[in-house]
Amino acid sequence: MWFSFQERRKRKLVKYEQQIQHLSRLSNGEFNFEYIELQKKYHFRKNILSLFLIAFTVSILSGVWTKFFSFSQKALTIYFNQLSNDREIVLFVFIFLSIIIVILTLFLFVSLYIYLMSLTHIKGKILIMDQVKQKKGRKK
Amino acid sequence: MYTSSSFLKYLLVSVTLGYAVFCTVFFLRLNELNNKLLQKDYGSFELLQFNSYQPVKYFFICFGLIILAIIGVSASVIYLRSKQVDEIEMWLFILLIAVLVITSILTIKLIAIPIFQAILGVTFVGSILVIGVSDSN
Repeated sequence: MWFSFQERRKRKLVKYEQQIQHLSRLSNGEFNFEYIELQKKYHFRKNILSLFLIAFTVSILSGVWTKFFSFSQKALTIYFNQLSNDREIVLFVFIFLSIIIVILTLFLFVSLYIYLMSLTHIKGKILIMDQVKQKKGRKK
Repeated sequence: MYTSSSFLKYLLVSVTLGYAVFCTVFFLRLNELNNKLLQKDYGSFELLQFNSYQPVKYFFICFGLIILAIIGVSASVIYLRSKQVDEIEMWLFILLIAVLVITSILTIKLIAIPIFQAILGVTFVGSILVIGVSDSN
């Protein structure tokens, strides 16, 4: 099966060997250039993640959910205690806002996950390059 | 055998084509619904309740379409920047991005009046109602 553990592992191994072959064929200048570019990209993304993205996500999520909980408490009190004639509007607004907030939270988490995956991918490439660098060093 | 990059490329192209076809059919239906809603003078909440909340369902479909377009454009830009692409591939991806941007603009334009307008009105009135009633008690 295409998505089974063994098949994925096999594909990763093939890709790893292809990358090793490709990197071994590069000249020293090209190799160093690729290595520096990857390191730059990795450190830039890591800094963005630690300095900005995590703080941004946590503050947005905690702020929005705190406001939403206080709003939903009031809205449900009005709906169940029949404090207003427009109970249907209150219920509609509550359900509508709940759906929007859940979708936005999921979107934020998925974006963060994709960002982390890209960071892992770059780190993997750097580790492979380190390995090739060591091999090239030994040959000399 | 597909490599992961060519798989990603075919996936992006086929998903965008499917997206464009779905959007065309959806826009026709949304336009029809908009015409029906604009024919009579509905109040904001009445408008949203039309045909058992059909405008609200359409609003969420539009929301999903815009999120999908954002994901598609980001994936295309990442693909173009990270892989060495030939000229045909580059134009193909630029075309994909253009399709996604144009459909998003059309989605926003079609949903804005009267459905989004009514949703904003009802949300505003509902929020004021909740704050007002809870403060008075």
